Amino acid sequence: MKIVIGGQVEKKAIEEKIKEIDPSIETVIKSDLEAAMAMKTGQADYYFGACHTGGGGALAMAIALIGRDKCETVSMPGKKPNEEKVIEAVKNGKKAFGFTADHLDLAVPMLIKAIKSAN
Amino acid sequence: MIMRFQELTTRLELLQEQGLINEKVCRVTESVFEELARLVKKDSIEQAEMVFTHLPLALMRIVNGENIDRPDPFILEEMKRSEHFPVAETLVHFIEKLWEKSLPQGEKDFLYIHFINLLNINQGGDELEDCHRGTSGEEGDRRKN
Repeated sequence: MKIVIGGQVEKKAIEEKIKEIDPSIETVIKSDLEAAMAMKTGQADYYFGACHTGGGGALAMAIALIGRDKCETVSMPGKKPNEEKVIEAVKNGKKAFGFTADHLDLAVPMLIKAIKSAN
Repeated sequence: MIMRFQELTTRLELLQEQGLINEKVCRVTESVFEELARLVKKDSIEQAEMVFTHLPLALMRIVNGENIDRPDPFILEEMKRSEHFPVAETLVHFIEKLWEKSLPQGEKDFLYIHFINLLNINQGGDELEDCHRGTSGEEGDRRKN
């Protein structure tokens, strides 16, 4: 499994969190536009991105390139990620996930768990 | 990563093609980029993709009547102490003039933070400490303590 890390902030921290959970997951850090392009061209299986507001810079270019139906905002300021909603999003075929940087430690493990369960 | 005006327009066109932003948002964002370039006396701006993705989406949130919470108070305090805060305020006033309306305080606060960090990168200064993780919510509070 390959995860491309786009978004705007905390890219290295997201990569470290993924590797901490499962070192076998392949990760690559790119600009938000390049990361979205990697998804569009099938170079990565999933897109993770963080920004201040969760649905803004984290996912904007992914929505623009792969479509809103493949993207999910899993957290926003003051609204923590919800495990049931994350599982549902992955089951529904969402491939790109945006969250706020302060929810990184919650969102990344939830996403990895949901993705592994679905595959 | 450096952004030139052409790269901004490519980014905005992609967002507009998918209906994520409208024409007015594009024009305002382009004008803000030109104003910032004038202020920092550069044709290209380092690490501008964050601000210039955030800004058009912030304006669209306003168009759509969506609200966001204000950042944590400790970040607001730090923000106001920045040497670049007056310029950030000028840029937000510039946006409000073009937008022909006041922006919600939460959106203004995040724009101040983005502009201050961008000015620090392009003109020197300290980035706002921990601002990326300091959005509101329990987790942000936990990290702060």
